[in-house]
Amino acid sequence: MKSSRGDILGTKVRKKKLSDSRLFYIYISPWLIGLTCFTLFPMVLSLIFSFTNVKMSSATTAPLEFVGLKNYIDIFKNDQDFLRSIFNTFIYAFAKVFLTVVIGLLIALLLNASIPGRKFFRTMIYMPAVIPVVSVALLWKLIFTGNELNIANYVLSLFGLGPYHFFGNEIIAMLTVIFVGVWSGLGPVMLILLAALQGISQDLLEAAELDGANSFKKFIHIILPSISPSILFVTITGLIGSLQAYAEIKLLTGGGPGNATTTMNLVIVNNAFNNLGRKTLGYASAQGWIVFTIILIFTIVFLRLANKRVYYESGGA
Amino acid sequence: MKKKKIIKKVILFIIAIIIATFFALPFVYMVLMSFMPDSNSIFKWPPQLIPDKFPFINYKEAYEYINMTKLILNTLIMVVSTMALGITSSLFVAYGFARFKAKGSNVLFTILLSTMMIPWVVTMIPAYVEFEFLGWIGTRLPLIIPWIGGSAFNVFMLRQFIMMIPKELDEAAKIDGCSSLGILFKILLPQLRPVLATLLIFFFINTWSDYVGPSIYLTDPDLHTLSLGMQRYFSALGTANWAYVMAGSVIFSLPMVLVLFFAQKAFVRGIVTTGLK
Repeated sequence: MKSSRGDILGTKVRKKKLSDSRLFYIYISPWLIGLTCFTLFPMVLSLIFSFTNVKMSSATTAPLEFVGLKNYIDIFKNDQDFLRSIFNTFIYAFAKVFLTVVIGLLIALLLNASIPGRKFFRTMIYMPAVIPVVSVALLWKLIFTGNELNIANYVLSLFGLGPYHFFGNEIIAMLTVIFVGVWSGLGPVMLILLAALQGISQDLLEAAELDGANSFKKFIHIILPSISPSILFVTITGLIGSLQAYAEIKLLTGGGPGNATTTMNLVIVNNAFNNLGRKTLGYASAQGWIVFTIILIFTIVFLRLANKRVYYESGGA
Repeated sequence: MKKKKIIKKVILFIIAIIIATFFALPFVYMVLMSFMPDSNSIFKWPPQLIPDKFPFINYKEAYEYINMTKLILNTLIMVVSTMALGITSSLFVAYGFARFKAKGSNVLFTILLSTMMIPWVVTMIPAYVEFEFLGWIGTRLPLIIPWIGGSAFNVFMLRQFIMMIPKELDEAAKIDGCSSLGILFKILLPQLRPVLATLLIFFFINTWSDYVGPSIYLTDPDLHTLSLGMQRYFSALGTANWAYVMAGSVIFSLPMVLVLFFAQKAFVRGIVTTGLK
């Protein structure tokens, strides 16, 4: 580098421009540093950890002791808590994503009709998504609090239902966290689908109308195919996000009652930082890789499915 | 025919009002309960929804009990430092990916995108061990320094927008003797202002509300952010005064709601471009 910009034989040479490929690597170097130090290195370390019995107290001092596949075998053979949490996470993620996409699409269709005050409605429906997760949890805790005199039971009593002990019953607790998840997660999904709806060509819709298509036929044959890439996007990102659900559930139910709402990440964080001594870091790392594998499989399956079903206007993803 | 259309519109309008109310009502309930005198007056049957008075004292006392000045300062330190580092890095990296071709640049970009998919629990444990080795545990560094790499999402967004700016502008500046850094700051940056505003808003909202990262690394009460402080206040008091908890929550949430209302345009642009690209 020095020679290219320097001064050769005492005569000032015009600063030679750096080549494109050098500039490329110079500009992306912060990312390369970050990637190496805070993503790749930890990932490799995590993989190594998952085959050892390393403990938090001695992770940086003692040499690693390899135990082969023991952690993975233990998880599938003996860890009822974690297996239950996989089941819980699936229920939570699928129910939440399914409901947010379906309800989000219905609301987007509603707001796509030319009614007055659309922007205002859009903002109101989006609002729960910007409220900090701790506030969301505290608010809904108050609404559903263990005390049966809560506002949720009052509202239900107006319809002749309840009273319920929301966080005391396994099924109701799961329904409650899904409900709160949909409430706070719907905004972005609705907004993306609304934008997709607004992007549908009017010519296409008018042509269909001239051909005598009713609203339902228009929806199935034109609207749904046109927005299918966006539906796929919100479904995949939604699944990746909710399969990793942690804060919203930890703060709302703490995983309870029992382990009825415990998710995979809740178990892993507990094993890594709270269950001191009972589970090793190696064990928790192995659990992390199971989560990684599950998410990878889902993403690949959905993208495969998408290549068959999703309609792209320009013919490519 | 026309009448039918109007009736249809009125019905849709009413449905929209009901749905919007459902989404906004819990927040309204939070505000109303923050003015209640104590927990007992909240758990009444039938419940009282409108407080008798709207005493500001609840806010004053909640603010003092929860020690919010310190929490807000700590939160702002996190917001500003991560934002400065994260956005600056993302800008450079995005510029590299958008304007310069090199062997392997496409592969690297694919790697960048796929890092968005890595679950945080996978890197969480070894990263903690790494930070312990570096002696960073108990400080803010583990939550700030990793932003040196920017964020994949921000890089992606900025790259998209840089690629929409005609390259002829770069070429012209280059002929005038502008360096590549000069092109970034003098030619591209002014045009990137709208998308930068969007990214800043998202950054602000995410860091302000973040719970997971701080709960792992900011264990020292002196470093607690609003998320941790609110949570601690709630769980430390077995019989928390719910009115104060709600008053604190309102203070905590209000900046986010204001950002949403006043920066709507930037906000919608951000969400929509993520979904469409």
